[in-house]
Amino acid sequence: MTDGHEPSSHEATETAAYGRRAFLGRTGKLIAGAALAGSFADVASASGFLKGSEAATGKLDVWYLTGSPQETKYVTHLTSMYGGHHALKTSVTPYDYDPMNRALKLALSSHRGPDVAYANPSPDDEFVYQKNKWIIDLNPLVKKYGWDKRLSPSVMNYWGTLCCGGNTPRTGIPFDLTAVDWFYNPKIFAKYGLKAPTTFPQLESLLATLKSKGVTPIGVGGLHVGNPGSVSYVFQQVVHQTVSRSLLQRLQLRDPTASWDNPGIVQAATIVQNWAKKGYLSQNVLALSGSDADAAFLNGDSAMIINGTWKNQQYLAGTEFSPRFFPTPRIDTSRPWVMGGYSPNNVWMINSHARSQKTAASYLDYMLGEQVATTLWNNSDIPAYRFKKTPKPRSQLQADVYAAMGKTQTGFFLANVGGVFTTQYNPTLDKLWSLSISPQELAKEFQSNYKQTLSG
Amino acid sequence: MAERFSVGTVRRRRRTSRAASGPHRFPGVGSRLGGGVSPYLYLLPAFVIYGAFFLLPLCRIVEYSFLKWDGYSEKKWVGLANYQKLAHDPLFWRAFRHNIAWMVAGITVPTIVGLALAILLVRQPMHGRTYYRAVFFLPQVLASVVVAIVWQWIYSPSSGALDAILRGVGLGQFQEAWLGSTTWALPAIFVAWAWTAYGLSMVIFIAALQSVDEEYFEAAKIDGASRLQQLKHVLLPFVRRPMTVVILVNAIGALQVFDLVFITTNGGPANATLVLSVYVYQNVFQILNVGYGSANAVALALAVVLASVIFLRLRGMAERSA
Repeated sequence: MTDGHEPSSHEATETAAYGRRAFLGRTGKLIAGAALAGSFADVASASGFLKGSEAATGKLDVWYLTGSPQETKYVTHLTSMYGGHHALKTSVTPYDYDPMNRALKLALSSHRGPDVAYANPSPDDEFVYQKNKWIIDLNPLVKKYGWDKRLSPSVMNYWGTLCCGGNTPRTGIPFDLTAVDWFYNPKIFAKYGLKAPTTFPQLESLLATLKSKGVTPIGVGGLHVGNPGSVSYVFQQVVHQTVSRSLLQRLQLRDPTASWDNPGIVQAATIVQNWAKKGYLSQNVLALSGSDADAAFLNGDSAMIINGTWKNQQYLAGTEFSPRFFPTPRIDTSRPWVMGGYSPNNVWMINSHARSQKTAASYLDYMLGEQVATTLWNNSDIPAYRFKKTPKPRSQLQADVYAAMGKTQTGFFLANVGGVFTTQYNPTLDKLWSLSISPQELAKEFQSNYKQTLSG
Repeated sequence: MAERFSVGTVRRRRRTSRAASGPHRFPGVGSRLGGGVSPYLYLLPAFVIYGAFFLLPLCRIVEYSFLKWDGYSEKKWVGLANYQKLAHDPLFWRAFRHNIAWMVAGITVPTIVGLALAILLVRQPMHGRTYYRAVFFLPQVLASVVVAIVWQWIYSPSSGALDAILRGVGLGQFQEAWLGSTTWALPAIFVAWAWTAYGLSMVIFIAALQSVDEEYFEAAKIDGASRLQQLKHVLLPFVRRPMTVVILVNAIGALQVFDLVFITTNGGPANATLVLSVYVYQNVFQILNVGYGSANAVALALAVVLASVIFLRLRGMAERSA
């Protein structure tokens, strides 16, 4: 299936290169001129951070919540290709999670910001934009472009249904699927005759064996609270095996009748605190950053790391071994398989005050098309696009992730409840790792923070 | 019998000789500035900038502190509710305690280190004095982000220099997960801050010490004063005034500390390094509780003002007693 936006690669590259040069040159002159004239508004306008109605058309600003440098690179390249084909000046601004959510909220609320954003769909983010009508309803575009036929229906409806019921406007649309779970080093596993576990006792036995061999079983970091890829994912993944998905969903959506102080949370906290006591986590875990943990895994110092599949390309590029992946085995085998972290992880949105909503829609149509999906696949991502025939996996890691997604339900990012709960989520867990609170106390503290969040 | 040496004696002699030398050097300066609008016109540009970028935002923050507001929705007046909440918020008081501890250490450590280095660089004959001054001052001019990252590396338990040095000198038992320890994280970040703060203290003390006439020390030596006595009775009286400036600057800097903490630990682990400015940031930009965050900011500003007033009073008292 083609999406009707495929420029010849030579033409696109040349035009895009010219476009970037011309854009940078003109923007530089405009900013310099405006600065000389002393007008902040002119500077804001020249840099593209301006009201839609005041803007000239022929530009497309994209803010992109990125997972890795590799992802930033190919999304920027794809956008340049699109801009080159349509004689548009495009710019992609990559953001990390926290700065993106902060900047986008401020920009959209003042009717400014990017034309298109790829951002978080959680209650504190997309739901806020949607309720304030800062982003447009995409349903007419879904019908017009046939995106519903192109993408997996369950993925398309996921966040819309969560937000506001069945007839909610669809304000975000994904182009890939993600999951958070266990990456492992197959060389270390092979050396000790180990296999990816499929039951929880097997997982516990695997951790014990690795520890007995002098290998750090789980390489994670807890420094710089709130850092993605942190030790908090260890707790999150186990919680998805001890607490029902429906309760987690209610907690995520701030249901005042739901409680964190429940036996499932205590059970998960007990399990991971025991892991900490047995030394299954990195030594000095609270002093290690997420990038320290990545480095330890890539260097073969730790056998496994829990992180998101947005790291696929980074892990594949950074190792001599080819990492592999498995979902957390179930504790209660009567329940379905669930992976922590949600999918779609991020969604595309169109600013209600975009310079040109027609251009923004056309760009989204391109990003949801086969050409982009193929690029995502070739970079070991899992696109939401339904290929007529699934391409051959580019790596064993991609095959593992694809298989895991096929048999599991998507879960939640526990920290994303918002408010005090979010800012105190990691500090509370820090106490669990440092053994200064009991699992029962952790559950009570979570509930107390949750209540504060609900009370605003 | 010769008059016994003291700084007061020399000062009296100088005053006497100045009085004998003639009238005030700049007669009429005061009267020329005494009237008209000209002085105010000169002040106007600075005041406009000060008003626009300091006073106005300050007033807005005070206004926001009486509101319940997420930064984009409708504002709701809640009176003193944010301040009442603040009074009972254990995290606020924890952050406040950390700031106070930081301020006490921030007053003493950079002041003592800066003074010691200044004495060394001014009073001790040595080659390459200018070079050492530049080297010791260097941390002061580094961007705080750079300082934070460098010290994060130094403290890293896996590849950090500090633990490697401790192992190297046979003190491996003192290795720590510095930034991951609820006990050591705050002192560890403080050391990084003090490393950047002593440079300014040193420069101020050097300027003060260079203005001390050598004849005081010679007179003290003739009177048989030991090095310690010279330090106590000659040198310290001359650095008393600059010391109050140094203490004030370091106290205010300590209360305002944000970037180092934000970059290295973001208040963790388990809020062990949470300081008021980071707590303000969390409330305003992460929780989007602009009203409560502003109340925190007002409390922080009041603490800074209070500290300044106390130190200025102490300075006034010290000057009067001198």
